[in-house]
Amino acid sequence: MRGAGVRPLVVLSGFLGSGKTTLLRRALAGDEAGGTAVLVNEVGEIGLDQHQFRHIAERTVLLDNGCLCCVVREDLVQALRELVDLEESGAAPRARRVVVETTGLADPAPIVATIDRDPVLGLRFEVGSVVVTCDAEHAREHAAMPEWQAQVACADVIAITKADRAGGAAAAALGEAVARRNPAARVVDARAADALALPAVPPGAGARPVREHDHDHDHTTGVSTSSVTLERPVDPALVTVWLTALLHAHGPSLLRVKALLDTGADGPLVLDAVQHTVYEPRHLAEWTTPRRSTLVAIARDLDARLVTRSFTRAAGQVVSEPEGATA
Amino acid sequence: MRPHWSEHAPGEADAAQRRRHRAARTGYARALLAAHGLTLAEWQGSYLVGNGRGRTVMAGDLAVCWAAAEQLAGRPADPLAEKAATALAEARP
Repeated sequence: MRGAGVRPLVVLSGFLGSGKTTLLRRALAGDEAGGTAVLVNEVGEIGLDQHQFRHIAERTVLLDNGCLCCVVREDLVQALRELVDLEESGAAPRARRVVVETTGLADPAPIVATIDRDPVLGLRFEVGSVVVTCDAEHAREHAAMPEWQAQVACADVIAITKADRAGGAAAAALGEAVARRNPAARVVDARAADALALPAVPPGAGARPVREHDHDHDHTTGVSTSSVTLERPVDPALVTVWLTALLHAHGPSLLRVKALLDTGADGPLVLDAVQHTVYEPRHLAEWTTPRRSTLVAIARDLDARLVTRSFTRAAGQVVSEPEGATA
Repeated sequence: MRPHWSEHAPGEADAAQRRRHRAARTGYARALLAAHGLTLAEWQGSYLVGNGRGRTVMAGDLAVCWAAAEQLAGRPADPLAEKAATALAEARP
């Protein structure tokens, strides 16, 4: 459990030209001065000087295990440590939240891993949400790229951009497609809401109700999504063992495993893994959705249905709907 | 360095509860490893993963346990294998 004073970090990701800067500008326009510190690659474009901007150059370090999802973003570590030093010395106001903008092709997973692994930053920041911009005008080209698939899988909020240029029907179709790919994410119109606003509950807990057993498969990219709902409580010890073993055996293929679990406690247990990295599991105070367990798996080069079937079997439960319904 | 997330359960109130949770995790992990021909014992707060033929590897947490299991068995202890998921279900206390 993280201590008090831990600040949220909002990761803003999305392809180059997909509307990240516009979204950032709109979201920060109504924000109090100094309330948000922003780490961006290109400082000049934003044009909001009441906020503290820092430049990051996306330097990454590959760890010994050689896994690409476990690279440490050294640039991010340095920028955040500098920010903390400035604030603690009184040279800069203490920001309420930090937004990290990533470049178009960057996978957000290493940012989550970086915060989690750094002994200094892990006590001061936690990833509050991963926001991904999806460009309705270039949806077809982007959707065929593995980087786009990884970004969508990582997202807690998916902001549909350029709906005015693509047309309402194209934007709606993209919204439906990304919701099928990542049923646990909140899909918003980038124009309508402050997409950077933190969800009332942490990552993983924003899962909207999913179908009893849902499946989506993209043959172009080898990415599949599967979700399952269990009616009876699950043992958290079982889930811990199952998930740690699963991540060891299939980590690089698992773009996301996200669950809201009924463990018999007052509130749900939130579990959220982005490739090899697991957010600290936590219990919420109460249920805001029907009391039952839901688990979503998004995988690449692995049938996500194997994951939901294994979870169901290990929990000793049966699914009330027949398997294999296609979204 | 914070302990691995799997080594504590959220909301653990006291030492007795921590011990109960750890015992439950050990039971499930033992069942999953047994489905892959491996053994698991506890020794002074660590896990000992064995191949039943005299080779044993010590692991400080579950994540290291699975790496040790792969080292001993030559393949990961995969919960997607049907027999492994069934073994987990049958290990329920």
